[in-house]
Formats: sequence, C-alpha cells, structure tokens
Amino acid sequence: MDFKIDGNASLKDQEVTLNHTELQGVLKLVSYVFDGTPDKPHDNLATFEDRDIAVPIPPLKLTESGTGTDIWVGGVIKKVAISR
Amino acid sequence: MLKKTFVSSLLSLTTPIVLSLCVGLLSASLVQAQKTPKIFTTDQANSTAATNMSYVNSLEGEYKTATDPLQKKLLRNRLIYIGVEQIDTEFNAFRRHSRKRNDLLQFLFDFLEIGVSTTIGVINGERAKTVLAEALTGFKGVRTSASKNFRLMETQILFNKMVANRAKRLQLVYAKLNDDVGSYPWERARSELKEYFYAGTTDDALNTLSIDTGAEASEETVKVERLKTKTLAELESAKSCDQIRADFFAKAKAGDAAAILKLKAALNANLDLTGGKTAADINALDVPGLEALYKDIGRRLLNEPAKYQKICDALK
Repeated sequence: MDFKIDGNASLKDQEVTLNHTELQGVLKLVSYVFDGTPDKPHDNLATFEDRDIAVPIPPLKLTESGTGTDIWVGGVIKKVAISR
Repeated sequence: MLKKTFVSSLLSLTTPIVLSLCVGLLSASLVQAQKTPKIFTTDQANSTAATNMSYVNSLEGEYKTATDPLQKKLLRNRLIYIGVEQIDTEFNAFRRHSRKRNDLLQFLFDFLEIGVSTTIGVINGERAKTVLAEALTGFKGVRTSASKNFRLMETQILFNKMVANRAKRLQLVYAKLNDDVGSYPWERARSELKEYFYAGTTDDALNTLSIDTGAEASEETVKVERLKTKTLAELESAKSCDQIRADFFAKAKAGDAAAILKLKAALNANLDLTGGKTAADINALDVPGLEALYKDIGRRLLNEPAKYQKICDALK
C-alpha cells in the first residue's frame, strides 16, 4: 500500500506521520523514498505492508545518516535511515 | 579529488557505451519478427499476389470491359479481396512499427530515470543530490507530457479500438459480396474499402473513443493517497488505540466471545464509519472479517483521525 508524504515537512513531522499511519492503518513501513512529481516536486513515497492487528508495532525512528535512503526533508534531499 | 575525477571520467566514458549497447540489443531483438511468406509478395508476371499491381490493373481492365453481370460480380469481389489484403498488410506494418517505437522510447525513459536515481545514491553532497532530484522531477514531467501529447500510454487502447472499427467496416463490405454490380459496383466497394483503411488510423480511433487524450490513460494508473502531516497529539491517540485494539483482537483470536462482542459493539456504535455496513452485516462477521473491517476503516480514515478515534473510544 503506497502513500505520499510532503517532503517539505521536517524530519520529525514525517516521522510522526509515518508512525501514525502504521498504528491507525495497521500497517508496517517497508520503504520510504523520494518521489516528486511536477505538481508536488518534494513528495516522498511510503510503501507499507499489512501486519497482524493483534500485535502492537514498535515505533519507527527517522535519523539523518550517511547510509540511509534519499528523501525530501524540508524541501532538500537528505540521506535518512529508518530504525525501530 | 583525484578519485572523484577518476570516477567522473569513468562514468562519462562508460555511460554512452552502455547506452549504445542496450539500444543495439533492444533494436536487434525487436527486428526478429517472422519473415513474410513469398506467396504474399511475389511480383512475377503470372502472380496473383495483392502486391502485383500489373495483375490488379488487369483485373480492373477486365471489370471495365466485362458485360456478363456474373463475371463482373466475380471480378469486383476479387478486387475487394485484393484491396483488403493490401490494407491489412499496411495496418500490420504500422502496428508493428508503432509498438517498436513506443517500447524503445519507454525503455530509454526508464533507463534515464534509473540512471539519475542511481547517481543520486552514489554521489556526495546534499546540494548535488538536491539538484539532481529536482532535475529528475522535471524529467518525469517531460515524460508525462510526452506520454500525454503523443498518446504513448494509450497505444494499446487505440489499437484495440482500431481492430474493432476495422472489423465493423469490413463486415459492411463482406455483407454485400452477393449483391449484383448494379447496386454495388466496384467503385462503391472501393469507397467502402477506403473507410476500412481509415478505420485503422489513430484519428479514427480517437474519434470513436470518448476519452480526453491522456486523461484516462493517466487515470488508469493507481492514485496514491497523500497523507496529511499528523500532530504529536494524534500520534499519542493512535498509540493508545493500537494497544487497546490489539488487546481485544488477541483475545478474540483466542476465542474470547466477550472480546468479539465488544469489537462488534464498537462498530455498531459507529455504523456511519463502516463504509455502508449494517448492524446485521457486523454481527455476522467472524474474527478475520472483523480484522479486515477494522483495517479497512483505519486506512480509509488515515486523513481523518478524529473520526477513527470514535471507534477507539467505543472500545474503552
């Protein structure tokens, strides 16, 4: 399941949005990459998979890192690692 | 610095080589179509092939001078069959070349997108990454515009419509093969064969298709929902809800009837959020059905967390 997230938002705001999606949507983040379009040039694409509703999921954390994936953060491309 | 220069030189040297190799391989694979059997293409003097214009002209000459109505009818029908064969040959060649061109173009677009994305992952420097990412976004816009204005993504839709239109027009011609030449002369048949030819053109397919160029093609791609940025308060509520919901479902999956009733009651108290379900539908659900419905509601209301919170509140 794919969703777009505004890459003009701060890293913290994007982290909050991703965690909320995992919790309410009963989903688990699989990948998070930059994916702008001419209409929304600073969008990031989050891909989720289904998870068991009976098992709570630990929160994920986004951290700027040299070994992460490239995503839009505050309108700028940054390398971000995802951890739990 | 020396390492960066070396890497840049290596990339600029190998990129055109790899690109040329891929284009060459792709072109080579595309041209390996079946060869046309010789019986269809011979231009020998005695040949009756549709491509033998001497033969076709001689038939037309015979048609003009024939006086026997049956003889004239037979000559007309032979001319019709030859016309259909010529038109079909041209249409199939057009379809083959269009597909080849479209496939090559899409491959080149994909190649460039992948190349730029990979480069962003390899190079250092935030500014460089940002610039390349912006360029990639611009390129995607160019690709979308090209696809829309040159109808690249609609090729199969258009060809399907052409095939359907051609079949209809040909049926109109073949239905009159038994008509005498008085009511259906070769001249009229030739005019209808022209309509059959035009049915295999892009313009005719577009005229009969009720689509806005590019709009339906792009609508056919999956629409990805855009999530609103959430607040910390909304996140905290979702954490609490996830825990409560998980507890109930753990019990329900273990066979706890009270937990199952509670999960159903929370939905029944908020039927307006269940996507058209009735109380009877809810009560008839088994545990997997309940899980699927809770997930569906949660995902549908991702941008309306306050509404989903009502279900969580009903579980407390």
